[in-house]
Amino acid sequence: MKIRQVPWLMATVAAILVFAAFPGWAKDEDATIRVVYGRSIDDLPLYVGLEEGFWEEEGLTVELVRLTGEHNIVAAALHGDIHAGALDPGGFFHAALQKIPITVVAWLGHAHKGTRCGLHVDAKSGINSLQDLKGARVAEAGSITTAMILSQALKAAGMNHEDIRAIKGIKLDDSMKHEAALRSKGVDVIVA
Amino acid sequence: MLEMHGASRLLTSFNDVIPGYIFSGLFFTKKYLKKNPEKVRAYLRGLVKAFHFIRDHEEEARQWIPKYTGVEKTVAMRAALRAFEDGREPLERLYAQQEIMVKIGKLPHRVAVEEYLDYSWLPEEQDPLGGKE
Repeated sequence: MKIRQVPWLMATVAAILVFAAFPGWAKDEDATIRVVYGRSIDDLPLYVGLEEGFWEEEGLTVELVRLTGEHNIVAAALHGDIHAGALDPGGFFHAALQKIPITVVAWLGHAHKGTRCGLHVDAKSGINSLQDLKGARVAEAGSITTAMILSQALKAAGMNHEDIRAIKGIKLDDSMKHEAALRSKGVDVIVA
Repeated sequence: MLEMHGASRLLTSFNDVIPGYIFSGLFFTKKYLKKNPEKVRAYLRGLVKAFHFIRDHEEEARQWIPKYTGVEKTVAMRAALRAFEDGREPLERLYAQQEIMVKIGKLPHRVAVEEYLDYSWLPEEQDPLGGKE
């Protein structure tokens, strides 16, 4: 089991070294809070906070910094290039496991009945129920979130990972790639 | 968004398989918290105001999505949003998610998160927008 901890730590250390080698961003500690965002709809509170002047009312200047990859985000924070970032719970638990000196101070939303993130199939696919996932080609992006959702969905259908055909190595870090993956007909299911 | 483009059909949602699934958390380094406590509290007051604004003025809030994401307005006005409340989530729910990770081999063992999670930076549990509701 220890083997699984090592890549998370190593990737973060590697990212820290990269940030340390390029001290490019100005460090204006007093005036500005630099916050990571992913250019996503899920970052709506950041856009609203800026546009409705909620931080201005507090006397703060907030600067959004586009950065992806949890290791990069943690490394940038430890190096002082950004001040706040977001981690999914998997990243958070691994950071805690490695005793990385960060603190989560708020959660940025949860799923609800109207949530549309989940297992998506091609619109014309014959997969209409979880039971139909047997033998389906499922794109695995490698994230902990994807693995969790997939495992729980399969469990609900009385199946496990061996009942599907995992297609690895497909990068699914933005919605255009999600569409491309499904439209390519190379996979039947993506988690997005 | 995928569905709106006609590319996909949702088979099952995050909420169907893990009710109330917590998506992500906002973190600061311990060093930054120690050095800038008032800035962090001010930042979080603004953030929670934004959560409440989205809840109470959703359509108005959605108007800002295209500017920052490049998503077309028709999608921005209809896409599902996360449920934003006051930034707090129950520990039991976090541990339930953690338990799944351990079971599927994505976390070697249970981790006590309390040392790395601190809600005391958040404003008191009240609507910071007050009269705006």
